[in-house]
Amino acid sequence: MTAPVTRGVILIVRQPGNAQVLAAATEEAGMDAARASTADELQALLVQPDGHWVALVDPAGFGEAVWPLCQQLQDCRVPFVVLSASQDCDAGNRSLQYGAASVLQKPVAKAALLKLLQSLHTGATTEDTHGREA
Amino acid sequence: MSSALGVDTSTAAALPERISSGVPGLDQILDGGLIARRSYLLRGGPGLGKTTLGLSFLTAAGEGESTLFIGFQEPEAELRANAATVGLDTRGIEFLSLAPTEEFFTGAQTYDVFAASDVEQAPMVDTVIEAVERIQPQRVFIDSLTHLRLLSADRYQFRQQVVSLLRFLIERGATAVFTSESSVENPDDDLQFLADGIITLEAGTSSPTIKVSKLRGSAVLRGRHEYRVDESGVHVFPRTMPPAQRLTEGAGTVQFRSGNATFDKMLHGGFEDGTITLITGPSGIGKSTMAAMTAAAAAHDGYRAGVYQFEEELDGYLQRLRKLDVDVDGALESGRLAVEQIEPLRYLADEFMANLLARVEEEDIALVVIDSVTGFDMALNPNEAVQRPLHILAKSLSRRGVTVLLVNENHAFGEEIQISSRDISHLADNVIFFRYVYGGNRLEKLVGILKKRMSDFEHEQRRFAIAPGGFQIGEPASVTADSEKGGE
Repeated sequence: MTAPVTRGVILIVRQPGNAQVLAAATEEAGMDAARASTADELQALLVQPDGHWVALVDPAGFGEAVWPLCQQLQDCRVPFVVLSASQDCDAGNRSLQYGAASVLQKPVAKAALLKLLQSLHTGATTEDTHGREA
Repeated sequence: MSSALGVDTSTAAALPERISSGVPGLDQILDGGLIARRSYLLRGGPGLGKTTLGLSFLTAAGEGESTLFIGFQEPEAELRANAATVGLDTRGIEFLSLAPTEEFFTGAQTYDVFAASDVEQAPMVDTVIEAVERIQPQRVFIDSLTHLRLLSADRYQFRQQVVSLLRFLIERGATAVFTSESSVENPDDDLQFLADGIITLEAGTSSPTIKVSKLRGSAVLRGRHEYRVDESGVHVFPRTMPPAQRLTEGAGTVQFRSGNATFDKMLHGGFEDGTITLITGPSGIGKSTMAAMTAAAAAHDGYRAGVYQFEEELDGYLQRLRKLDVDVDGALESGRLAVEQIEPLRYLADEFMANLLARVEEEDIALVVIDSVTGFDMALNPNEAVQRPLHILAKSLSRRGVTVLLVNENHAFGEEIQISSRDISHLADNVIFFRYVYGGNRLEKLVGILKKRMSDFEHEQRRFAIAPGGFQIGEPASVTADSEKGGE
């Protein structure tokens, strides 16, 4: 018998209000939420043995420091979505270069975001399973 | 059988249950109060008393009734403190404050990843439902639905939300009053269509006004009515229309003496009951004295009389009458004469009219002196002409059988006989005029009667003087062309 898969969302979000509503929304949708703002915090989550993660990245407040974190997610093959400010085209382009699965302009529709995260989870799990089988 | 506004209700199958709005004057405008289990929109700009009116509605709940205040702006403690300053006891009210706490700012709880409608609406609805189910209120006040509009994705969803919320409340037996803050950017026309009644507060030029523009299934007293909010709450002064016709029978059966035998002869008896008399003339000639003498004589004859003095200080006025041997003290001591000083700038015209009509009814006052029309005019909104409110006041009194003396100053001199520069002569059943003319090298005073609807009268003018003993009226005057022309 296999243990149930824990679906988690890593929130790379500086702004407390955003972190709070994103955590509430993801948990409401049955996904665990965990925050990480530094490379070490992110690494600590990624090494958890049963973690099946996708990530949400809000670059606001990070400055250039957000891109190494995106690189870290890409290196660990964690699918992630970037929430960009509507006027920040540059961040959108760079996010895609760092492997973002999607770039959404804030504010986003909560239901659509949750659906996207769930579909990323499904894709990640399938890919993971395929990987093990291979 | 008819309602307070005269609507025939005898054929109505079942009269809807009325509940008090908490403000008697507003209940009068609403023809008896709000219809229970309906929804009412309370509109108006900031600072006009919407919240106070809503609290008054809740505090008017009967014994055993539950009430709920749903607020989006001020915290509960602040609402209770504000209510106390206007004399409202909020102990029986349940408050559901959905206002943000200070942590929203200090704790950086602002967000931009989701629209507010995605985050706030569902928990807010859950909280309201829980409170209503728990409290089961008969009266609900929501301050304001504008907040819900900000949480709705679009106008259609807002409309659906409001319809659903109001139905939820009404089906649970509540009467709901809700406010809105209308602006050019965010008009509240949609709410006006949804509500069963609309009460609008407006900032007037000198005083705020209240208007009921819609009340499904009921007559209302149309038009704008003045109101004030003070330490004892909200006071609305309905501007009622005069009765359509005379309410008393046998008008003219009583004649009120003027207090001067010669002038009574000129009047062929006196001022008939239920008539309106304009006493008009230039400043300082004796108009107020004649009106006061008539009121004092009425009191001596066993009638109740009221003098409303807008211009003079009361002590000086009474002292002047005493010097003229007008027995004002005896009349006052008898309790049948009341003399009241009115500061027009402290009074609202509708307030004065409502209070006076109430006193006339309560105290059975038979004769009223308004001294003066100019003073009454000062109590009005600066943009409002005096004709209409004075018509309402004078006709409301006279058709109840009250005799009305209106003291009116004009600026006529010499040959000109001016009744009034205010276009109010149509009101008068009787017109008494005073005038100055030159007699040789000194001014003389003349008094005459221009009009008297209920009897004949003396058509000659007479010279008079005011001295101890009151008016000293001479024989009919033969006014020469020279004196008519001011001694030219």
